[in-house]
Amino acid sequence: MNRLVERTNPHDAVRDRSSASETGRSFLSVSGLTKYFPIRKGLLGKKIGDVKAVRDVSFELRRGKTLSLMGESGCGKTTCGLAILRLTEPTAGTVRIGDYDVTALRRREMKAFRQDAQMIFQDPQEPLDPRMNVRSAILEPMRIHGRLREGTERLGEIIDRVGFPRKYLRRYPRELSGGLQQRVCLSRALILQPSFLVLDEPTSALDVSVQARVLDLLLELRAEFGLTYLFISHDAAVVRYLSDWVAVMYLGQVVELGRTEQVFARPTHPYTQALCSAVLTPQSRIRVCEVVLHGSPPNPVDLPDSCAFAPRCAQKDDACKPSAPEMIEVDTEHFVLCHRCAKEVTVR
Amino acid sequence: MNDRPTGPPQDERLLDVSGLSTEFVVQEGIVRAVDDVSFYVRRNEVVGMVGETGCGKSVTVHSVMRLILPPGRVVSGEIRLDGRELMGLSEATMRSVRGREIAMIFQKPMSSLNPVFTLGSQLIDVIRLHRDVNESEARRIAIDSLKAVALGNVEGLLSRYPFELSGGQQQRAMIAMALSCGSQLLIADEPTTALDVSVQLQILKLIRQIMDDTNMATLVISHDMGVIGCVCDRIYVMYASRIVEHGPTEAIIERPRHPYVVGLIRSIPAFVKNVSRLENIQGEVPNPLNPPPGCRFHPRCKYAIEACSTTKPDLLEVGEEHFAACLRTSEIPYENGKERELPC
Repeated sequence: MNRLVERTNPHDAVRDRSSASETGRSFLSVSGLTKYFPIRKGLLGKKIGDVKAVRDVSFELRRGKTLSLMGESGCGKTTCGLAILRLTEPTAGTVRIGDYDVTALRRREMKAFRQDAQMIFQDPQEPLDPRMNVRSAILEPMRIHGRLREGTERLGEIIDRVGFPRKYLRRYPRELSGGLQQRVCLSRALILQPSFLVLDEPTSALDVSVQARVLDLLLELRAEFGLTYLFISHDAAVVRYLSDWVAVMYLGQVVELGRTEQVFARPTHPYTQALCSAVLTPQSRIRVCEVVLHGSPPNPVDLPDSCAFAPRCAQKDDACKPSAPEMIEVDTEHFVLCHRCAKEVTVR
Repeated sequence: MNDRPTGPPQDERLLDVSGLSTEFVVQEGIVRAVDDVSFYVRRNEVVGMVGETGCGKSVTVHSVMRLILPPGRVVSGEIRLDGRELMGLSEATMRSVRGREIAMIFQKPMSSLNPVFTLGSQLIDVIRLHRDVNESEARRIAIDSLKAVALGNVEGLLSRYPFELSGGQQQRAMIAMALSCGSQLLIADEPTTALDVSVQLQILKLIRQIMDDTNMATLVISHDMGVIGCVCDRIYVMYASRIVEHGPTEAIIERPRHPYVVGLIRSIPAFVKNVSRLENIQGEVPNPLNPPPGCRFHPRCKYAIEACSTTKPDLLEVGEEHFAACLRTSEIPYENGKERELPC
C-alpha cells in the first residue's frame, strides 16, 4: 500500500500558518447549528417539548483538514453531521461548505451540492441495496446525477484506489466482508469526486486489523483527492490518529474544541478528561484508571440552564454557577465550555 | 495434540478444555470453526480469549456450554469442569450446569432479557430454577445481587421492564443474574461491545471487582485487545479456528511472539506509541472452508518460510506459561516498544 504522502502544495503551507478562525480561509464553517426534534402528544399532535439534539454548535475547518466530533452515543454528533449536510433540516444556524451556502440552498441547487459532499455511515451494509451488485451500487450515484458514462470510465480507477478487487465487481454485498463493504461505500462516495466527506464511525463495525487499514486508506485518500473530512467517532484513540482538530460533544453542545495534539496533551474539560481515560490500553489496568464517568447522560428533553455536565462532573465546585457556561479560550485556539476553566483563566 | 499441554496441575484448573474441535456442515462442505483448541481457566482467574470476527472464539465457548446446534457439532475434545467431564452429560443434566455452574452473559443484554416480563420476575425465576428457595428468599437473593452490581433503587428496578433500563443497566442486570446462582465460572461473550466507552469502563471495573470479591473464575471473549488487556490475567489469541498464542497479559502485550499477535497489537491506535502510522496486516482472513495448509497465518505473514506452508506449528513454550504456535518464533522481533504513551 502506498505510503501516506503529505500534500506539498505551497498553498497548504500558507493555510497552515493562518488561523482557522479566519473565516475567509475556512472551507467548512458551521455557526450556531441547532437541531431540535419536537415531541408531540395526543390526537392533534400538540407539541409538548423538544429533544435538544444539537445546541448552538459552531466551528470552522480549512480545506484538506479533518475535524472530529467525539462523544458518547446520544451526544448529538451524528445529528450534527446529518444537519451539516442537510440530511436532516437544522432548526437554526448556518452552514457553509466551500462555495455552498448550505442552509440557504434551494431544492434544485441541492443536487449539485449532494455531489460535492458525501457521507459514509457506520454500518457499511445498510446503505447497500442487497439486490444490487457491487458494480451497480458504485455506479448508482453517478446514474442519479446523469454522469453514468463518466462513472463507467472512472469505475476501475476508483476501486483500484480504494483497494477493492476488480474480480468481485459482480458480487452482492452479503458476499463481502465488512472491510470490503466499507470500501464499496467509499467508492460510491468518491466516484462523484466530492470535496467534503462526513464519516460517521466508518470503522467501528470493523475488526481492528481491518480498521487500521481503512484508517490509513482514509488518510491517503484525503491527501490524494484534497478532501476535507468531518469525522464522527466515540473512540479517542482513532480520533487522535486521524484528525487535525477535535470537537468534544456532550448533550448536543461542543464542550471542548482545539487542535488534536493540544486537546489530547492537555484535555481541559472534565468530560474530555473522562473520555480520554476511558480509552483502554494495556497500561490502563483497571485499578489504575481513576477518572471514570458515573451514571449516564441526562435526558436531552429537560436540560438544565446551567452546565449540562455538572450532574456527572467529579470536579464540580462553587465556581459552577447556575447560569450557562460560555466558551472560553484557555490556550491558543483551544476552547472549553466550563465555569471552572473560565475562573482559572481569569485568575491567571 | 495428544499429549496434554504443560501447565498448572489438574486440580488447579476449574475449566479444562483439550483438543476441542467443532465443525459445521454447510452446502459447500465442512467448516471446522474450532480446530484442536485446548485451554484452561484456573479458579479465581480472569482469562481472555481474543480474536477477530470469525476466528472461532464464540463457537469455542458455545461448544463448552454445549450450545452448538445442528448443522454444527463438536467432533472431538474433552471439556472438564472441576474435574467432571461435560461432553458425555445428558441434555437434562447439562441444563442444570448452564446457569448454575457456568453462567454466561452476552453482547446484547437486551436480546437475552425477555421484553414482556419484569426484571424482578426474570431474576426470581432463574434463581428458583437453580436454587432450592422459596419466592421471598429468591427475591432477597435477587435484591442482593442487584446491589452487588451497583444498581441503585433496587426495589424499583425489580418491577421495571428491560426496555426501561439503559444498556449499561441491562448488562449490570445480566451480571446480577449470573451472580445470583453462585456459579463457579462466568463466561462473558463480548460483554461491553454494545456499550459506550465510559459505560464500558464501568462494566469492566465491575466484572474485575466481582471476580476479586467472589473468587468466581471468568472467561472473557472479545475482539478488543484493550478490553481483554484491561481485565484479564491471561490471554488466549485465536486466529482462523486455532489458538496461535497464549500467556500472561503482560507477556502477550509487551512481548508477543507470534507474527499475527505482533501485527494485531500494533494495529490498535490506542496501543501504538508513534501515532503517525499504524501497522497493517496485509491480505484477508482465510476462507474457513479451505484454510491454508501448515500455519494458517503464513499467506499473510512477512516472516513466512517454505516450511510454514507445510508444517502445522505446535504451541511452543517461549516464556513462563507463555506459548506461541510459530516455527520462527525465536527469530521474530517481538519488542513492542517498552514505553507506549497513553492517549492523554
